[in-house]
Amino acid sequence: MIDEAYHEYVTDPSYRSAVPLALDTPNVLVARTFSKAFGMAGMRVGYGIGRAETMKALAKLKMPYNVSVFGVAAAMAALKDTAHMETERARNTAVRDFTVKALEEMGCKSAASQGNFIFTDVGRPAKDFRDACAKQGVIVGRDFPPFEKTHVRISIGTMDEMRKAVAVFRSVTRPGTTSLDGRRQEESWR
Amino acid sequence: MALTRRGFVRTAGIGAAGAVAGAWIGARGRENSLWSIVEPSLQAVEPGVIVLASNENPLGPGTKVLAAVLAAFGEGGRSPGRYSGNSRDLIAAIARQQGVKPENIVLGCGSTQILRSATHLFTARDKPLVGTIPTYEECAGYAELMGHPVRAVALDASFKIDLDKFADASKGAGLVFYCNPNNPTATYVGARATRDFLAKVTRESPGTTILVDEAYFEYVTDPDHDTHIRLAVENPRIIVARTFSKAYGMAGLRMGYAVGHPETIKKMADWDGGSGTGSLNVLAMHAGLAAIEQDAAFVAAERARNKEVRDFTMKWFADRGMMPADSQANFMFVNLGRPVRPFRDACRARGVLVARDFPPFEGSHCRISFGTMEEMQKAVAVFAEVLAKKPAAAA
Repeated sequence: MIDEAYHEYVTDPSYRSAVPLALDTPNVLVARTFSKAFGMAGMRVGYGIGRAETMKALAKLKMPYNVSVFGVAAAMAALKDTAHMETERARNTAVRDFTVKALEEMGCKSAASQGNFIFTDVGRPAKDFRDACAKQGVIVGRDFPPFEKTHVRISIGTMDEMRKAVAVFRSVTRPGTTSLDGRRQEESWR
Repeated sequence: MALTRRGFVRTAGIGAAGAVAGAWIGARGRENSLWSIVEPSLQAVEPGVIVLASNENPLGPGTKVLAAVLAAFGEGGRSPGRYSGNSRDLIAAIARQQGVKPENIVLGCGSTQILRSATHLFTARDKPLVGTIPTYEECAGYAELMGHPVRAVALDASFKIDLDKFADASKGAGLVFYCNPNNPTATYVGARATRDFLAKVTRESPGTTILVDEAYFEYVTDPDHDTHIRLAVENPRIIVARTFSKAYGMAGLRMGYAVGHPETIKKMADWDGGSGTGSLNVLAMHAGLAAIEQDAAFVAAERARNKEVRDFTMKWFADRGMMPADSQANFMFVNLGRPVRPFRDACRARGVLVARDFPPFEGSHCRISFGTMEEMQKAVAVFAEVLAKKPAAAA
């Protein structure tokens, strides 16, 4: 099972979806979701793609009536709006680049991200970083063992949100500072 | 706002989120309409067809629920974009309504998820599922899928549950599915007899869990009527399933719940994935909350409306010598004295959709859901026309 949950966010030109492979191979299937780039996580719609016989086996186990009528209608409309997805991908790429660069300037290296989140080395337990950010109104991802001692998963918000978040990250990565101190320091660097 | 009899609100503009049809929430005949787009094997129903096939409130959920759903879209329609496992408000509201604690409740994607979870947890290769035949097939179907045995107990001559036979068959069972009123027969066992049955099974077969499906609870008018929730919260071996899909008119939103002992509820919630809410959409959570917090008069009015239509429809058939089983729900199981399929096809051709076959009674009995009075008056005219023709001899 190849999970392509973040398919729509990929910008690497060498990327190819595994859907053609799944359509040719009975023991390969692709999972997709409307919860990420399509912005419909609250509606609970996802799907599998693969050969008919593979899908038939899955459908047997599928709970009947497990998608709401709103979910079905919204998903159908979402699939048609390809222009919106282009815009969303470009928006995410710009904010992702901004965030990765800002973190790098703080000394936090991120794994090369092709999604709408980054996995970044904050050089301290994720819990400490997370709790400190939460105090300043920014929620980052939970622990991801075995990297909970060093790495944090940060989802990409809007550019406006990430500008504010980056200021918080900066204050947190400099021990003993608060957001206010962070701002002061930021000003003093200029 | 002018409310039509049928759809109560056709569409309402909600800005960025687009237009939402109120009738969708009720999603009447949902198995047959919108689903045909994604599941072509299901028959599409064009507008104007009278849908009497899926036992749902024909008027939908009411304006307060619709308003709550529209409000739930939030600014710019953003809210449904975020996943929320926060079902505390809805659970708290259900707990208040039922006089139990939040730890007595687990939510499900319709009661279907509740039925599946219970079947998964309490049946095994050596612990059969026991149900009546016919009954709602979800538990039996899922047990079979997992390779767990199913024991079927025939209903009595009046299509009611034969309690002694059912209790005997329940010995050694993993799960007993007790659907009351029963689907597709609409027959009902009174509260006292049900309590006696529950006591007998829990005494004689202590390893057996009993799932009491009260999907049609709100429609019962028999004076000997009560919920079994109070027994369930005390006894880890009794679970009550409820749904927003029937009298509350929210089948399209997918919300149901189980009430039981905290240990049993925890087992079910753990199996469903920790919070038990991964499958629940946020609109349904808001709608469920509004449905419960609206005036209790909503359910009372729906029960009274349904009873009037039920009396009319059952009398129409009885007057013509076709006896329906005694219905305490929003549908009936009627002996047409002929195979159901040609009857259904002929009605369908005339714009009335009745339910699918329910073996082993597909040669004689049809399940017909009750629509509005206006719909049923039109429907019986169609039935009269179809029944006037002699059935094919080879039936």
